[in-house]
Amino acid sequence: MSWLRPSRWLPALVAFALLVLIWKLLADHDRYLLPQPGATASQLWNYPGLYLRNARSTLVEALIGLGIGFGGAFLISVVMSQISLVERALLPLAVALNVTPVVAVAPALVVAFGFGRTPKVIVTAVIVFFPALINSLVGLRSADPEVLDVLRSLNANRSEVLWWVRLPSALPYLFAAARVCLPLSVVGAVVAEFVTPGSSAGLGTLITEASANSALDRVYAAIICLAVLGVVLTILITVIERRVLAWQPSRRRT
Amino acid sequence: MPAAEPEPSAGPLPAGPLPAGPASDGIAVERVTKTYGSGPAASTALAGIDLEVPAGRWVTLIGPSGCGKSTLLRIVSGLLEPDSGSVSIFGRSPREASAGKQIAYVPQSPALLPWRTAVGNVRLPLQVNRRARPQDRQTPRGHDTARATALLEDVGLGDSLHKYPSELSGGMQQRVAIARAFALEAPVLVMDEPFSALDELTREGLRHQLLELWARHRATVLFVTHSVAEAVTLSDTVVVMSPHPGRVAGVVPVNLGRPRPEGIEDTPAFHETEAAIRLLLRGRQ
Ligand SMILES: Nc1ncnc2c1ncn2[C@@H]1O[C@H](COP(=O)(O)OP(=O)(O)OP(=O)(O)O)[C@@H](O)[C@H]1O
Ligand SMILES: [Mg+2]
Repeated sequence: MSWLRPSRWLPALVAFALLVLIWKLLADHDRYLLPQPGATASQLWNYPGLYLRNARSTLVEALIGLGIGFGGAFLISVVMSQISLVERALLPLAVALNVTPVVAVAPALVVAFGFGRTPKVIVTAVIVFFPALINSLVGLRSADPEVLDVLRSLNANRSEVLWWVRLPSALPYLFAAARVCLPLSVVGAVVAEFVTPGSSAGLGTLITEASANSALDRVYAAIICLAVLGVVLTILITVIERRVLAWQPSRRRT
Repeated sequence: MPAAEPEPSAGPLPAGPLPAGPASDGIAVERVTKTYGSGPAASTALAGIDLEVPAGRWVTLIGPSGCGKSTLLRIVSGLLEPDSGSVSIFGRSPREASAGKQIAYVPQSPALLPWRTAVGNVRLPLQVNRRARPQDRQTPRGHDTARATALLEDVGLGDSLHKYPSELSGGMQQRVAIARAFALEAPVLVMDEPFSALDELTREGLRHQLLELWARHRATVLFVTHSVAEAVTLSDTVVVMSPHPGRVAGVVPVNLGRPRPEGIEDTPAFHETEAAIRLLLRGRQ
């Protein structure tokens, strides 16, 4: 309950107030640079349904893409860690995929899959795939060699070693990956919405349309929604991590 | 002479027919060699080691760093294949013995699973490879927990049963590792410098705890240490090794009788044995 103490939340509150003040000064200075903070707030206040609906559709795309990309990367990393041939075959491909700007493929995905949810989910899944794969591979290899010796001296088979040692060893790495991939999945979904102008929903779509109409208050209202989305997702993963990794010394002390 | 009778529950003989004769009794290492690497980078870790640990006895390897003690222990535990020579564990190869869960291996670090509590860690060897031993298959799982709890109480960790390794001191972690080794009730116990990371006071306390546990379980033990006093306190026989390449420099019997009380370190017989070991250690350096 340390959040109840003013020393915990006061600095953040002051910094936030300062940020709004600077925003306000900049908006007064040039109204094409930034909208008035008040106007942005009243957008959110007056049209909560609009923003909630679009935020929901972006969130759903992001989470489906994340689930597919992260889950796929995890399963493939488990297979790679067990069969080195698979690793040698797939790792170069994954690296190549990582250095390809997926965003550049998004318009082509729209041609292939239309204006629905599919191209956005694909972009999101591809964006989160690589960081998830690498973290998961490193995590599965992070098992203590002396622990592996103990298991080997008991003639434990591969699946027992995987289940009792390698998977739990990988957990902290998987959470680290999730912290990176969650915000990344929102980025993926928004960017995919940018390049699908005809689609009807999503904060990315809202931003493109509002920008075209020079409605900066709506653009920034949507951006605030994205920020809130990112913060909520990060808090969620932190809470889950604290519970699941309760045995980690660094977690318990904080 | 070792004092206590072997307990029936920890009988040293693995299941199945065994070849008759003394060769199948205990651990026998014959002309074992091991070279790491090849070509000009090759380094010979073991150059023909002969060693015997009679059933129910405690043999300790001592020698300077790099003389191949860990290598030999890994070969005996079936974690490493020798280049030549043979190892027999109650008449079986190390691989066969480990397949039957007949070897409890204790590495240099406690090697605990950080996500399991003390009890969970001690139970681990009983949960892994359950198909290997009939006694594991038949015992209900609650029994594992009871046995783990009893062992942890034996090593003085009754208050820390449900603590994670990160909440335990180094000495407590090592005691969990020892309880884990005894939980297996394997006829053979192989320990590679289990106390090397601990301070002298903690080590002395642990030695006697280890002896008490062993007196009750009566495994055949191959142990490694850098401490001459530790070797004398624990062993029936001390094997001194010399490096470059790893060989047996000499064998010193410890005639101190058992059980060994805490003050045994101050007796003349103890000092004589220590001196004999030191002489061998110095002679080959
Ligand atoms: N995996 C390995 N690859 C190459 N050389 C090795 C390997 N393991 C050990 N050696 C070499 O073999 C020799 C014996 O090593 P070993 O670890 O068995 O010695 P040790 O007696 O256990 O030493 P310490 O007392 O320091 O633990 C050393 O010279 C070491 O450099
Ligand atoms: Mg060693």
